Amino acid sequence: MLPFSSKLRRTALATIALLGTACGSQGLSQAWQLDRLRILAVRAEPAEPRPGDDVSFEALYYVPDGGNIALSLWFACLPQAADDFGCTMDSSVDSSALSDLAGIDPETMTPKEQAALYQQLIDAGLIGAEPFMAPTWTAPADALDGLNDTARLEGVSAVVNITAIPDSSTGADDTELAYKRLPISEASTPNHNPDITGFTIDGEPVKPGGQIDRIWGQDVQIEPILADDAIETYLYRTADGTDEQRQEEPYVTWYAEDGSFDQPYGLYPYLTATWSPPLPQSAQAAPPFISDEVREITLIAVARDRRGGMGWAKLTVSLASPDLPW
Amino acid sequence: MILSLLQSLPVTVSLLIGAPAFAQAADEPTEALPPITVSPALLEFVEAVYPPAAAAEGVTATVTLLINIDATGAVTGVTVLDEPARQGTEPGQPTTWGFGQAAVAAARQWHFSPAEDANGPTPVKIEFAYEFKAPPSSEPAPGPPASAAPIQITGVLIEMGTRRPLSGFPIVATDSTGHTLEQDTDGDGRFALSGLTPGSVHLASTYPGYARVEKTVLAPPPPAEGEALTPTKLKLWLRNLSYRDDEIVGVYKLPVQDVTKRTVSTAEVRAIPGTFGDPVRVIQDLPGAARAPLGTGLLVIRGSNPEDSGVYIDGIRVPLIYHLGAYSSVINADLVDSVDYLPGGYGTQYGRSTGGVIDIKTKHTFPERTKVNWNTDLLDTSVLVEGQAGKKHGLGYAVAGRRSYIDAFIPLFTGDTGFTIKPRWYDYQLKLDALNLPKGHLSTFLFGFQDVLRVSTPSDYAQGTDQDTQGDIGTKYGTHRIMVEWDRPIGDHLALRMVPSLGVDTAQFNLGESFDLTQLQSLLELRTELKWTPVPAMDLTAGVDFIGGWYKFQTQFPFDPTTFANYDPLAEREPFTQSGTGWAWGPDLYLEMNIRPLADSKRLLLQPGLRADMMNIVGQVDIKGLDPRFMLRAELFDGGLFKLGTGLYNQPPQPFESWRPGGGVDVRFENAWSNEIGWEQQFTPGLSADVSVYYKFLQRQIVPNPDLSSIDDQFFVNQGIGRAYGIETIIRQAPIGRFFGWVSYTLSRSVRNDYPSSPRIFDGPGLLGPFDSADGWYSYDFDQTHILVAVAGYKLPRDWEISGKMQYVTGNPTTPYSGGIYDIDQDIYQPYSTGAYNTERLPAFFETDLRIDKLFTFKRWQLEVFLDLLNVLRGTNPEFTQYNYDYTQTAYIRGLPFIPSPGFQADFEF
Repeated sequence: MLPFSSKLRRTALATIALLGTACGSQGLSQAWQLDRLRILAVRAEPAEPRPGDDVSFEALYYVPDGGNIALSLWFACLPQAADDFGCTMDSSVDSSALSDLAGIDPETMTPKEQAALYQQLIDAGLIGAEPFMAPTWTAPADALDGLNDTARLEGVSAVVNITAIPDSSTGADDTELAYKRLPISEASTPNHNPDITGFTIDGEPVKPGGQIDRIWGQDVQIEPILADDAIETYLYRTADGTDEQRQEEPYVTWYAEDGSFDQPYGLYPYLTATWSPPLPQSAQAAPPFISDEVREITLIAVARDRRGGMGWAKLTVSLASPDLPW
Repeated sequence: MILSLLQSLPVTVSLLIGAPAFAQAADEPTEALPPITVSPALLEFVEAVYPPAAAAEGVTATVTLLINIDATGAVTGVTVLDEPARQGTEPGQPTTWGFGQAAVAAARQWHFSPAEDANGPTPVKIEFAYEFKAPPSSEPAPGPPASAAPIQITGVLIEMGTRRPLSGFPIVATDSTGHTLEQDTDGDGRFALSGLTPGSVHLASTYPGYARVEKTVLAPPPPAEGEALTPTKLKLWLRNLSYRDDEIVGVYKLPVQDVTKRTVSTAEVRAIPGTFGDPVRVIQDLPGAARAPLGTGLLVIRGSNPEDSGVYIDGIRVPLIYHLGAYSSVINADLVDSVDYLPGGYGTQYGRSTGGVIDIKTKHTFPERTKVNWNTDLLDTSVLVEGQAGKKHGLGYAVAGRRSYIDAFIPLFTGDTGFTIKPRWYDYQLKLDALNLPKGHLSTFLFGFQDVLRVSTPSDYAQGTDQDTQGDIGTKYGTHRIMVEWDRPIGDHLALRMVPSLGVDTAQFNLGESFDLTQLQSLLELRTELKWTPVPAMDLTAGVDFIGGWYKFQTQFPFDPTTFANYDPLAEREPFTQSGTGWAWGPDLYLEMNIRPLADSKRLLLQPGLRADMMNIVGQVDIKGLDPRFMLRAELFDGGLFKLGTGLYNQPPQPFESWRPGGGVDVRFENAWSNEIGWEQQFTPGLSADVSVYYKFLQRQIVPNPDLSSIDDQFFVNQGIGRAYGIETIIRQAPIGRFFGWVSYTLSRSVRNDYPSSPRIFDGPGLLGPFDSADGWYSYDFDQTHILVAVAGYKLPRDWEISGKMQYVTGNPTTPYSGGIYDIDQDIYQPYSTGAYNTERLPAFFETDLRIDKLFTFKRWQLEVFLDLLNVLRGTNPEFTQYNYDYTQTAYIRGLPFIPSPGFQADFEF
């Protein structure tokens, strides 16, 4: 009648199994490795709109070798209109404009042609089609209809879909699909995006987009500097109607073009990570790794506040051999 | 050993060994010599009271008894086949001297070691000639041959390793003049020599099956007048040429009363590589049992979920049989007498399971001398002490304990990194058995175990990105039971068996400060059976299988689990706690009848049965069910047996499936309609084959409520259905002589449909819902089409033994994924499926294991050293598919590589 422990035991075994499997990646690519087109983050502004507010979006793409995306399509909808893939296109609308988009150079279009194209895209349900039309959306005024006062404070999460198509001239053919939730609410303390204002590299401050020089084989200890207002205090009304003051617990995800991180995440307040650079292509097996090769590697930190807000910053590490006295 | 025991008795008895000696009783079932591999040895003898009238007149007699011995060695019935009549009696006087009555009274108090056939311990009947040789007198029992001359040399003959005295062994003494004396050792293995010429004396003892022993000692000269002679004292140690050869005798074998019941002897268990001497793990090498991933002990029997199979110890159900990691069972393997494996078609005495049954029987025999068994490996150490106590050796006892220490070694590898993993377990057992009860059998068994696992990471280490999955992970669970087993015949036609048990089960799990589960239940279990045998052709068993007790639980989650179906990672979380306490019970009743309608009773056995299932969790669930079952076994010709079984098997919901805050849960028993038909063929006394076809309909399977929307809704519903069917075959050579082994093959299929009224259909590539399938049906997670296992062992001279095992199993079903869609808020990819749930399979599993074993025998102890070579052919066996972060790359998590695993076990007797 009561053989309850078998479930718990399986939990324990699963834990061991997970720990065991976590120990080895078996050569599989890691999430922090930037080696193909990726959508790393999407930032909505405002981060938590009220019904009827206009919202603009910005995506953080990574395209190898400094390239650009050929096309990025954006859709948005309320959750009741979404399916497994997120928002769907209304099949009754004319979507012919989408079929040739990747082959069009917007700079060759006249303003009138551009306007006509934008209208076609909007009619097809798109809220953005980069590089033609920056993604913007007006949160539906009826988004919270039918909710009680407490639920309106918490709001609903609209869905935003992004489909990024790589430039075929780069040889890449992987289309990246992603989706994000956009909270729409009447919260008294709406969310804001967290900004990363810089880095502390081995104890020294570095501005976003900055560059540091390091020698091959030299680990880098790196910590993102969050803006003073990045960790917000906000009000949450509990199910029993009590207003509770809560504080955000952001976390940072690390990405790099090469090398490796000791851990891919940093949870507040432990945001520091250690990045180990790669070795030069031709070098001796032990330090100092002497090579004529010089390489610049991009590192990216993305901060998420768990309420939908995001911010990011990049850093370039230039790797070279040490200056030797001889 | 049997002979030596018997020869030590104060009266002469004879056990008729060998086929011709087993004369059949006229009205008892006849049967050709069955494949009995180990005869029952008389361990506990109680002398019969000599009838006073016969003693007064100096009458001697021999009484022939037919003794029923059950699978534990207990005497369950005695009848007189022949006894001498009293001549010249007057009307009103007894027609016999009373020898038969006296012999029956004595024999009912005896205890034997269990007889074994190819399937392990088995009930038998033996014919026994009890000889009343001479009327009792006040004279002491004769010892070694008396001699007028003073004793010059005394000694005792002892078997090496076991320290058992060897009685009836010849001692030949040759003095310096060439004069030779020969004497047999007495019941205590002693001898006393006299009449030898003082000086050097050569002693020798030769006995079949033993290495010859020789020794030269000094025979003392005659003492000075008025002084006593001080004899030379010595011990002679004889080495048994093989401690592993069992005698083979013929006895009557009683019919098995389940459609398919497979029993593995402990000798086979020890010899099979990769089982680590664990009798339960061997089940996974038998037909019907699926291969468990990564060597874990999950019991997947005939396509059932692991929790659908019941594990019993001496008839009392226990929640677990393995410690953490499934490397050790929770009961000392040397305390296990046998393991019954019933994959299906079992009788009504077992219930609350739709899968198979594993019933572990603990020992009922104990060595006369205290024996210590020490077993050590890298993970833990276990010790077993067993023996007999009391003036008349009336109490058998066994005490065992195990403690792991792997948690002490792990920090040596992790250092001060802040990462720690501490698995820890212990178990204990205490068994007391009353050996000299005038009737029946009484024993007490106390056992328990506890497992703890703590996993800690540094505080700055992120365990994923979720704030509620951070912190230490801990789990702790344990079980403690005390049970009493009491069997008692009531008259000639009734037998009562009672097994009351008290116990406590505890379980805890926590992850950081967010997830917490604590559970406690105290249990009373009672199994009571009354068996009525009005005529030999029929018996009826009525039983109660009660389980009940008090429970308490508390759970804490970081959010309301009922919202998980519409999970929004951006939503604010509120801790969710639930707790409950109450009473629950299930007083199941069962009836089972064995009917043998033919004159030759072994030819046909019909077994109708009915079990009433009840489960009441006060205020939550109150359900009832009926399990009608029927089984037939018909021996159509000698050695060929047709079997058939059909029946309903009800299983109560798991505790978490039968509770909700407001009470009144509408959940019923899961059930399975199980059908089986098969053939057993005995080719030779050792060689047999068994083919079974089974088909199981799974109904009312409990699945998550698809309409769950609030905490007040019912969490689970009985909507699922399923099918499991297949063919099982085994060809088996019993461990007779030097070779044993089997080839087992199972062809099987097990499928489920969780929501037949509104099936979840896979309609093309996309994000896969839970169990989305092509037509509502999907393959069960451990559905393994082909399971082929070959096991073989061979006993070499000088106590060497080699054995091997080969396993080929179809890979488990998997779901194909190809790419993923990035969830930006959670920073994870949701897998994008290109096929329905479980529509692909892992590559097949292939593993070959070898084992080499050597038993060393010293004077006072024995040492078994073995080397298991696991996966010698280095099969690269995928157990799970591992994906990279975006599901575009795959790799396999593979099974064990080639592992040489040495070990040893030591036995001491004091």
